[in-house]
Amino acid sequence: MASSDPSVAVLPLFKLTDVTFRYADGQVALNGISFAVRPGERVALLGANGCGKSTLLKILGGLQYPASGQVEGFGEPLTAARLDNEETAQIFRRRVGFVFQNSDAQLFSPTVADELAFGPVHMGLSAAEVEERVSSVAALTGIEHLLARAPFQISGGEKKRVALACTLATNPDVILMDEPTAALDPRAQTWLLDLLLKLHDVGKTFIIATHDLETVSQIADTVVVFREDHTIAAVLPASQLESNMKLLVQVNLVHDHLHRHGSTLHSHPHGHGVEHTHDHEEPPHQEV
Amino acid sequence: MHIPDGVLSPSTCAAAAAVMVPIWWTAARKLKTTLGAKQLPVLALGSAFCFTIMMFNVPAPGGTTAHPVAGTLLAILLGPWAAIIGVSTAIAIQALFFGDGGVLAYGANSFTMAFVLPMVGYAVYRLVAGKSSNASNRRALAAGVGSFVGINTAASIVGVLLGIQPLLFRDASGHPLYFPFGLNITVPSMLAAHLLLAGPAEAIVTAMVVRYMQRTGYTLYGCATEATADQNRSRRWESLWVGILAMIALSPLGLIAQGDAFGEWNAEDIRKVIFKVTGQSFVPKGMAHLQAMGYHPLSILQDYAQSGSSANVPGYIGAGILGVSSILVVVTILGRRLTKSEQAHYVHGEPNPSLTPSQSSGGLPIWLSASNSDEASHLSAGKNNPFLQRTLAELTSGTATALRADRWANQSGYLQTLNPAAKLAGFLVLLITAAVSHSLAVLAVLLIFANVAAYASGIPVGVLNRRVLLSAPLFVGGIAIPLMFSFASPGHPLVVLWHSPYVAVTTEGVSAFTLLILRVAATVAMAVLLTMSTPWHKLLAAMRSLKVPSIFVALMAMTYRYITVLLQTADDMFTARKSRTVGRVRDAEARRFVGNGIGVLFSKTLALTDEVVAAMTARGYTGEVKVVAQSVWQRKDKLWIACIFITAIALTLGEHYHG
Ligand SMILES: Nc1ncnc2c1ncn2[C@@H]1O[C@H](COP(=O)(O)OP(=O)(O)OP(=O)(O)O)[C@@H](O)[C@H]1O
Ligand SMILES: [Mg+2]
Repeated sequence: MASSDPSVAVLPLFKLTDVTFRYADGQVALNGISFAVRPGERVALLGANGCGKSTLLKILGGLQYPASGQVEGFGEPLTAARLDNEETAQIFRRRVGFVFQNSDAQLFSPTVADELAFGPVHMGLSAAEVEERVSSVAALTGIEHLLARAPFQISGGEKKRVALACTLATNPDVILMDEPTAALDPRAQTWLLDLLLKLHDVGKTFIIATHDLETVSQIADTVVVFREDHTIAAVLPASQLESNMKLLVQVNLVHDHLHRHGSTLHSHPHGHGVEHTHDHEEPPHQEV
Repeated sequence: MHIPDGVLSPSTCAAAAAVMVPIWWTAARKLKTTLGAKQLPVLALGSAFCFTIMMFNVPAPGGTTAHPVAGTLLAILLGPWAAIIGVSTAIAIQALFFGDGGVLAYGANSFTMAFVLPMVGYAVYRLVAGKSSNASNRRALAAGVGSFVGINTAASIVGVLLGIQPLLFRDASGHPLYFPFGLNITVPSMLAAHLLLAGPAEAIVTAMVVRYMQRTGYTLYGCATEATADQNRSRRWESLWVGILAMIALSPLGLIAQGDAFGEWNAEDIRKVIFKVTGQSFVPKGMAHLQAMGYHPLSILQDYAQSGSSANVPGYIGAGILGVSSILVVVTILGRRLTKSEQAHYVHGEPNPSLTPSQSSGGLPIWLSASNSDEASHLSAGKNNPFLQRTLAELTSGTATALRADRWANQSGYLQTLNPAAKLAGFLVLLITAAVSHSLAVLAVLLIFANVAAYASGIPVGVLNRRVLLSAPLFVGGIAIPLMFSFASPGHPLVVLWHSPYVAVTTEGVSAFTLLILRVAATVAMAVLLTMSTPWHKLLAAMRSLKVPSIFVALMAMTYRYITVLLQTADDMFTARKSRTVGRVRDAEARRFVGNGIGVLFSKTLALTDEVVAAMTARGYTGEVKVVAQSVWQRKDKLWIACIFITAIALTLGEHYHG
């Protein structure tokens, strides 16, 4: 594992320098992004809709390449030229797993079992090894009862579980996740947080795009906060997030919530799920 | 335009498939070089898109609606090669799961809808569009013209395929073995329906989708701005290819143009044409035999003329066409009724007009805070837009069929325990047995077998038979009904309906009618039973172990997967549209909605394709399809396949010797 090897641990796993990305229609999605990810670190990408989180994950996953700036993964530059080479691509893809925002895009096989087998089979494992991988990863994610089902016969939350399972099936070192908690019910969210902790304990690195303020401090050590102009507003430890409400208002992730207190209006930052209390002297507190 | 099994002779089916194999092969090779590792996801989503829009209804003139075939559109958007593969895959899934078009007739259906239609349509489009820019109006117009010519050419080829059946295949007593009517009826009726109804609808929708895609900035196929000299050269080669293939596609039309009055051929004419095309001298045995017995291809009409009042042949042809088309219309409407009543619960879901007044403060625009319940109450929402209802109903039932396909496949029963490959092979043998049979007894045995097998497998017999009745025989029903009457099947009168002109139901007619219906029913029953008793993924594995190329199996698998996603998206779009529909929708408006809707769906398909490509790449896919090991054959499976073979041979031989 990367974390147990001190010589690797000092090198950043991913390093971005001044990365800018434009979509084909000229739409800027990332604007001069720089930050680094250490092995074993859990990073959350936090920002309003459309700020570029998914785009950044795709760049980290070697699925898109920036218009300018450098991206390094495992100490080597991530360029189209290098990843077009089948061998380097195979090694890289083996080490990096990706849970996409849209599960329907990720689950393209006729059955859940085929879906779990897809990665291992394309890695060249033997039939017996593939079978063993499929059954153990299904057990780990609690989807054994879904193995024979087709991806269109399962619910949104189940799809997310299957997507996570098929990513884990290739045993990647780094897991990129795009809004993993979005479709999950509260119990499943807790289950996911538990699983992520276990995976963290064995040294996996996570980079998770989210706007779920409630869970961010539990799934991440470091938070990268994006502005709506596709630049980075701050990179800070997750523990400092709550004391930085101003920043979150600035990047439009939380809104100035309007409350009516008797006849006076007052406003304060309000993010969903972040616990907050009202302290008002006068007039007496009475929400409508 | 889908030809079911049992109306084309097996040799016609085989010939069409033989023509398609090199075309598929060329297309696959071309796409492999242009698309690389993206080939599978791009084509799968393209096919799923094609399948989905084939379920849309477009208002056509005269209050009717038509389904777009989409081949030309796909060629304009993704290129002609992708269109060939895309439409072929879509109709393969239609044949397997929806009983739309035959399994044996798959080659013929691919030839007309997946090859002739997009190739001719695309060639005409290129011709009309010339060098105009990607965003020009001329290109949208060219798309309309191209799709119109494409669909009509394809329709006339369907007419030719059907119409040559009675010329080439008749039994000893002169009765047609397969499709009963000649070119003089089939080509004009196919053309009439497409020139007047489906064609204009297809043209308008295609042009509108192209317009929509132009506005979104999409680069139409072959319109790249920065084409290098090298690309230009390959483009030129490509257009040459397209031209040649279009000519091959059009050549059967030459058959019709021969002679002054088409359809009135004799053995000599056929010999000339066949010699011209193949360089060989050959006359269909059946025909030579018939002519020796004094029969002519036009005998049907001549008999009609002799027994009727006047000898005005064109008049009879007109009457024949009119009769066949009107019966087709009636049967189609009846079919709709049947399908509709199945989803009666769905069709009524009008938006609730009684809106509660909302707050007028809080920054809401004033118009939003005023109640409009008075206004809404007298609008008849959705009443006058059958296209919405129909499309929704069909999308919903399509989604349901696709999603619940293995409702019975996963329970325990006889058929479910068989090895899927053995089952697939067995049903294929039975299907061929049914398709070549001309004996009521054999067909009845096969139908009884299907019912018994369904019963033994826990598949409700009623459901099986309803599916059989609902799918293909509607098409045949329309064509087969006139067969009962004296003008189509002269012979011993059973019931005389009319004396002048003479119209009667004849014994020969009734038996010809029953035979055709039973044959189609038996073939459909085999296909339906196979898909009802086998989970989709096992069917795919079976195809693989029967040596169907793995790229094709993977394509079918992914197409089916994304059909469910796109059907759902389309369903949502139409539901959303319906919930916002107040008042009457004019046809033009409805067509615009369908056109834009297809455009939106295509944009969504493109975005999804990018994501799927990324997801597959992220898990190590490099363009090569790898699969896990196959299941093995057990004693039970060998026993089953042996029984099927023996039964099939016995039935066929028995029929041969006992007539
Ligand atoms: N395929 C595309 N073509 C053009 N522009 C795109 C495309 N995908 C995304 N964008 C644009 O790029 C920007 C960043 O998009 P991205 O999907 O990365 O946002 P996000 O932070 O993941 O948002 P969300 O929280 O809604 O998932 C947005 O402005 C978006 O409109
Ligand atoms: Mg996103």
